[in-house]
Amino acid sequence: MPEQRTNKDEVSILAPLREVTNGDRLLWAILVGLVGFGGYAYYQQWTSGLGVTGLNRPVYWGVYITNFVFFIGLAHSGTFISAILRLAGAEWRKPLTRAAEAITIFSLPFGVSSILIDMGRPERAFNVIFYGRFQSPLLWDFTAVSLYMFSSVVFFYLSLLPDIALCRDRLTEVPAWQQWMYRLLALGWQGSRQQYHRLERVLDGMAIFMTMLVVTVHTVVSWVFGMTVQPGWHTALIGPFFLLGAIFSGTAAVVIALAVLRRVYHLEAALPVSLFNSLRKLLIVFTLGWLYMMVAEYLTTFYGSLSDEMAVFWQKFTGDFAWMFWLMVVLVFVLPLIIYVFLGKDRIGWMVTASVLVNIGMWLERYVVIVPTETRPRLLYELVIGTYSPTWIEGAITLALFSGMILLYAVFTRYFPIVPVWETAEVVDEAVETTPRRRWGIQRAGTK
Amino acid sequence: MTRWSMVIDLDKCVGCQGCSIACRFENNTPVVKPEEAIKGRAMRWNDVFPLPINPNEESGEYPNVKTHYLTRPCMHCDNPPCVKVCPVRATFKNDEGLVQQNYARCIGCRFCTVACPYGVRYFNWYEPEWEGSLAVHLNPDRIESEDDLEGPAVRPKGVVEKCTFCIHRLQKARARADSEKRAFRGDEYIPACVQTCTGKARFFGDLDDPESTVSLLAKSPRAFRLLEDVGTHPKVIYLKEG
Amino acid sequence: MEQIVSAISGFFTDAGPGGVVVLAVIVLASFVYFVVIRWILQADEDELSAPPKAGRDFRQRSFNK
Repeated sequence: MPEQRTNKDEVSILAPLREVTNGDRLLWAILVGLVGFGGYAYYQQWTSGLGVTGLNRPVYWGVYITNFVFFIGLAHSGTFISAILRLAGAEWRKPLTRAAEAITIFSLPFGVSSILIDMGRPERAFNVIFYGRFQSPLLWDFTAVSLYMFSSVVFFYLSLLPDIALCRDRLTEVPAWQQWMYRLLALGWQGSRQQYHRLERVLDGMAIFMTMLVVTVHTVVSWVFGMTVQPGWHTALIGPFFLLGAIFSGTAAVVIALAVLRRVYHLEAALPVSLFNSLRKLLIVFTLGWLYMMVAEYLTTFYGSLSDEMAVFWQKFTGDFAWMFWLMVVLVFVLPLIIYVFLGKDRIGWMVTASVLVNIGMWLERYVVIVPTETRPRLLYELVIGTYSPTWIEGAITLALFSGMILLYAVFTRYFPIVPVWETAEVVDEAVETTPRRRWGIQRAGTK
Repeated sequence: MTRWSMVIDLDKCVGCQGCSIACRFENNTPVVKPEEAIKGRAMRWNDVFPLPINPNEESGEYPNVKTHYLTRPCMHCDNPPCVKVCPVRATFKNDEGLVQQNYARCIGCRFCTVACPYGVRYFNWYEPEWEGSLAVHLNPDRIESEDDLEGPAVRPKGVVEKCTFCIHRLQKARARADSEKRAFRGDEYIPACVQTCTGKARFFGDLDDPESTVSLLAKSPRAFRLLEDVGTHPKVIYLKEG
Repeated sequence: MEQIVSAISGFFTDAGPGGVVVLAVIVLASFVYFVVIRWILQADEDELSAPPKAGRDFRQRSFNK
């Protein structure tokens, strides 16, 4: 017997799926155009070589690797909210889970693409499988990120499954192809009590696994830098630093996504302000946590005064990258902390503002971790230029990656409910009549 | 075992850059345009650069300038940080201590390049080109097979390259000894830079052979290695001026 | 064709088990997820939500016989 669940917000949650507006089509067209422009830029790079970028000796890694780390970091938002908060029993997270996980599955492919875009011979990518050396941090990366991407998609799909069935059953006026899609993807879900029970158990199990994956993934991403001996990179703190940064920027991204969805799709009932207040508390903790990491890292470096480390330190604090470093501190810490603490409560507009600043700042932060170290190698006198100016190609490709992510997200929200209907519903208990009461092992007469 | 090593006597080096030039012609190193060189993309497997005596002091005013030069090939470290991080074994250390680079397998990720603390690795930002007479006089010696391209072999864009201690010369010398049905001697193998050096400042040989020149020079009180405290165990030994 | 053959032979002859590990992890994950999804969907509609304990089940069955 199908389990009965009712959701008072079902109508408003499903409303966006019932039509695709001209505004959507315009937005999608613009985003496709930007992606296309990035594709053209990449084509230039494919035919000429990586020389079309601003990369040089010694800055061999720049914007593309920054994008890689940034997008993988954004992905941690979904897993944090769905998996970690699920394990913590934070029931308030339920309306957010799908919107957050959608960020995960739509940002990971662009993180992975960034690596392929950065490679000198991308057509040889499969060499990593055929000739892979597991001693290399890039192999740890490949394994962890692939597994994470795969698992996130499965986790996302399973969480979506009952709602696909709901769409199949409720959305009778949508185009035939869309109905066919729901029927196909619903995999025959009936919504029985047993199915729901098993689904919840699997999601619980996967939540544990995904939490372990989240910690692993961003740590191994940081170890691409941490496992070299270069000053500024070779620090034990880099793992936790990147991990916290990822969860931080990801959670801020969730705030932005939620605010936009709430406004555009009129989901005020399903996504009340209290959700933003809960996220606000987490973001305050993360902002302060980020400060802790920065102080721990730079105070230690400064106090030790090792000359190789100090060369990179001064590049960031007073040198060529000082403007970027201090801008990052303002965007990631100073302004967001002030806004979250004093202005963010019950005010979604301020929450979004601070979260946008955080994400811009976190992109700069990744850049500031990667590039200054390369500009101050130990053998300083080898340096020819020691600066890096990204070209329009790197800019166009970066813009295309962001556009692609937003495009996938926007299209998704028009075809699938972005707030989980089944998770935020109330279960009407129909099972009483079929449960035999047992006492002392003896069955009641008349029951099955 | 054999461990190939190089000794460079900085007292004898005059900074003529003959080694760099010999190297690029021996190994078909691509030439880059001037605007690329300004961006720091010139490729010099063996690089010669001015070395400040004391980084905190001025080098003096013309004509009383104090400048020293350092000539630097690949260190062919015994504990190479580049080999550790290569995801596809495009770079690897062979059992004679040479750190090889296979252009056919390299995926161009540049992990090795950023991991090397000496900056000896270079990347092909564009398709390699040689203009005019340079293109006519490429070194025909090369290591080239279906899945292995090394040394002077013509490489595609998007791969990393570096000094190989002229490994193709080693293979040639061994092949010659084989064809002449005699044992190969260590001193038959001479990299191009060592052969060319105007000041006779460079020496090459087997560090595991206690009688070789490099072994004897390595014991000199003037001997030092670059970045000894980083733990890479480089096999290029410098004799400091003095 | 030759590239495929040489690539496959390289996979099996080369030092470094990295590729094997990556593939093993992904294949194992695929298998686990396939089994798990099938398990969820094959839930019997008429069964109870909490799987009965083995002891009771045994007793229940013996009563029903």
